[in-house]
Amino acid sequence: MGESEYRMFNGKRGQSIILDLFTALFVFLIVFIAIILLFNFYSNRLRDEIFRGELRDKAFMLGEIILSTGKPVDWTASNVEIIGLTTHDRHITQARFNELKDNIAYADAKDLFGLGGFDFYLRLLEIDGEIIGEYGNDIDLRGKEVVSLRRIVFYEGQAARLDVRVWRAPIIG
Amino acid sequence: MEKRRKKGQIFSIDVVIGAFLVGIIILAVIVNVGKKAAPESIQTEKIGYDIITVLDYEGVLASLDETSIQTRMSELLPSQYDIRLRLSGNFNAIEVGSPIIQRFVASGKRAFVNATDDKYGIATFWVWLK
Repeated sequence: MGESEYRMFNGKRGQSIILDLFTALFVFLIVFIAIILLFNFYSNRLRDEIFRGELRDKAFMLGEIILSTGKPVDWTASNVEIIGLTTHDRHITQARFNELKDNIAYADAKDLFGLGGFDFYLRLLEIDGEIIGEYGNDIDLRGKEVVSLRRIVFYEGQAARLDVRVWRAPIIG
Repeated sequence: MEKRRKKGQIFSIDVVIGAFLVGIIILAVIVNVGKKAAPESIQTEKIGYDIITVLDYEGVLASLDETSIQTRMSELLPSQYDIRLRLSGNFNAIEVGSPIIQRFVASGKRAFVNATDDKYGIATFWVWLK
């Protein structure tokens, strides 16, 4: 191989290596960007799902606690540990509902229900839709992500509807 | 030169395998999160149990009267649900309610007794979102 041929060969080898490097770099960047975008997309979805799941869990938990007998079983506002409105299987009494409504502040009820960071609203209705009573934060919920539950219960021995709504409380400060 | 090209290929394959594994892990997480019972199915099941419990306490189930059961069930059931009820026991089985057509149907059972007529049985419900 002559000197000029040797130089030409060396030059082509250099071009080839750089082309190789750029191709690999291009593929790597495409894949890397795709991974970042996918990861971002799915982590956002996961975060939203966890966020909603927590809200749903709180709503279902509230529904179950309300339909329990509470603790102690003969609780009053002064000694209540768990606010349950029923005496037995889905039977809500007026006395218990009034004790909650009249003697337990909303902020205290939230703490007792374990709803820190959330707001709630309860409404008891007769089966035909006439309101028996309500408790909680009755605000305009438009634009908020709310979980609403409906349970069929007894109120003073008559079939009734219990509507429960839970949503995230606004962050203050 | 050949050796260097091969190294580049291996590097790319490595990235593809890495991306594939990351994708699989992300998908597995998403699928597992999605597997948690859907809230509407939990709520549907609870409504079913609520209805059957109220019917039992009111003595409607034990009456074994199809018309009474159907009427009361319609009054109690929220409008977005449909329900079918089957009563079986030491009497001729009866079924009331809508035919089941939906994909997700929650179901449950409750025992009931009519002490006056010495009749007892199991009420099975199927409830679903319309």
